[in-house]
Amino acid sequence: MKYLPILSAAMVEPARESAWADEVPAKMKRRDPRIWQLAMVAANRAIQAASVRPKSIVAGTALGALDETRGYLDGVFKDGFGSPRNFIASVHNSMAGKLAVEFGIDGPNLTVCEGQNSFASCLVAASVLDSGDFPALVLVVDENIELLRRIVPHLSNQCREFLSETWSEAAVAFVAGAPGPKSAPCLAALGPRRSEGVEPCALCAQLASELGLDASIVAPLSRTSDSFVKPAVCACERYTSSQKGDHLIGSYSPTADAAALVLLCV
Amino acid sequence: MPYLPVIGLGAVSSAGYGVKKAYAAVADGAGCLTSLSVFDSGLKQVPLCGQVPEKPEIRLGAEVPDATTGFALWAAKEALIDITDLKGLRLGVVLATTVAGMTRSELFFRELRDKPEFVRHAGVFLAHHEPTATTGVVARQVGALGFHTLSTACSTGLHAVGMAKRLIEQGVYDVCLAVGSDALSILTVRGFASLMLIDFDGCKPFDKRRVGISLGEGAGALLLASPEAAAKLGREAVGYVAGWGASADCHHMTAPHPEGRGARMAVEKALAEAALAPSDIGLIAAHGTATPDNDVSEIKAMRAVFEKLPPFCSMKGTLGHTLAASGTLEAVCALRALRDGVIPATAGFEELDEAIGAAPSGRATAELRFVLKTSFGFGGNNAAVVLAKERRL
Repeated sequence: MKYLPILSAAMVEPARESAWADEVPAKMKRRDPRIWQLAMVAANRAIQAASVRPKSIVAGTALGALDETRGYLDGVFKDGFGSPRNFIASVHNSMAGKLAVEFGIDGPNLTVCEGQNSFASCLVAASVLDSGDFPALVLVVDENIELLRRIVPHLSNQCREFLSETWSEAAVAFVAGAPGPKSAPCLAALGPRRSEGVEPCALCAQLASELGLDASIVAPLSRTSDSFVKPAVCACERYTSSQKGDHLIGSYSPTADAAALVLLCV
Repeated sequence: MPYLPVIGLGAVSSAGYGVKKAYAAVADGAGCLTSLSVFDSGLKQVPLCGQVPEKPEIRLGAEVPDATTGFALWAAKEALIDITDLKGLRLGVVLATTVAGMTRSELFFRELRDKPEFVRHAGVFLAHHEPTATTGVVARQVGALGFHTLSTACSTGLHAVGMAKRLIEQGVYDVCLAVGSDALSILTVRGFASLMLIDFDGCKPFDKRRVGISLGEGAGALLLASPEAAAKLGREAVGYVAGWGASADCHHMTAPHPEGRGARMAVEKALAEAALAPSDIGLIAAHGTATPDNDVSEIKAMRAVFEKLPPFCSMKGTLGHTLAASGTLEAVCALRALRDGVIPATAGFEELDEAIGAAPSGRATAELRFVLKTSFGFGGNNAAVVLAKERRL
């Protein structure tokens, strides 16, 4: 298991923080998708707090800029023409590409799309980078858009259990150093692992035991997985509030039927 | 870093199902592009595309959620063929896709626009729109322990190869499938058309007359293993992954860096990991999309790395640009070329472009030990992988 030392962390939660948009650069405000703006503000805060420029980016998102995808297709189906800008933004990694351009980060630029397990999978992806590619910006972002609010009531029972109607959205950014031995504060992850019929909480407990940790400290999935970004939000909150000790944060993706576990040491 | 054995290959392409068909077509520079018929794109002119000639569910004998998943599954199963027992080894999957279940999403959006009540089908839509759903299906069907889903546009496939290599080296898995898969979709066909990057008559990589890409679909799968796992499974290596390099241009969201700065960095990193000098490379299996910008900047990048440009080819005139699948699908063909000592032809190339100042090789034979495979994508995303014929001593 690779432990990534945390150099800084930052978060944007629009539901709690109305003024975040003031930090969006003017040129982005005019023309770029809201999800990019969320990512930009969280990334900028984390980079400023770390006082270092990351050398690589690992981004995670479940649905990416879904509004842009829909906007493009609506244009095609309605008017026979979709906006190239919508198309470019609809590509899942466009957000990480934008951050690379804005911050001048020319190292590896990976985007992981793992549903609720995106944060865990991001950490695993970051752990495969070369030591020279660190510090790394690890960022998770997903939006609550009108389309999702409309469709949530029509999801299957299993999906609804993990995607509540009080859907939360956020951008969470960590600046992480090169992997090393376990030393607080740090992050590590295990999974995603196929459930194979094992109940998600039990699977997370199984993953915890593989780490030699007490499964009882796994944060309840019902609280941490009710949106795509909740595992990252949970980790950021516990880190910034300096809650000392080991924290295990579980996540479960019903669409992939897989669970993952994030270990946060503070 | 040790060279990691590749012990299985799988491919689905415009040439059909199977590595043999894809490689034979690529080696000969065969014309496998056909008029788009999978769906009505609504474009005034029907583009030539690299379409898979038969639906995956027919070949698999079972329903699949969407074509991307079906192609990925078929290629993964071909790579695992004859392995009936994993003998307790931990199998992982790293899957690369950009389209994933978009073909379903397109149907959903089209219907929802006119019929608001169609929202009741949202569960089916969301379940397959997330790229992780594709990986979940493949992982379940092949009995993988865990999996990861990457989506970095056209460079993704080679990142999947690199990540699979590192996960084995770290001991996370004993064997790991690197799969790239993408189906043709309205979003990508119309999207690239709106950027005026499609050559409706078929792409012409590195040619003076080139005006854009031909989209394609399919999947490529490489089964990587630790040397111990390969021995336990009794599988001979079909080649080795020697190095992976990744970088970002930091230049533009869609256009490559004019001097190929990021591409150069990715190639240099891959060579460094493989502990090779540029002169060791016998063939560059280029990204070679046939857009006016890509082909110029790619060769500029290569000139910056290589004192003498090795023979190079583009497979996209045969397979089309299969987006996230292109890295793995073309790496599969490159491994076969490496084994046979064949420099593949470049379908579509006829006329030298002075702005590039170099022509891809025609089909030829050569003593090949190492091949460089490159892939570049939206967002200035670059990936390079070095493939080796033999294990490093």
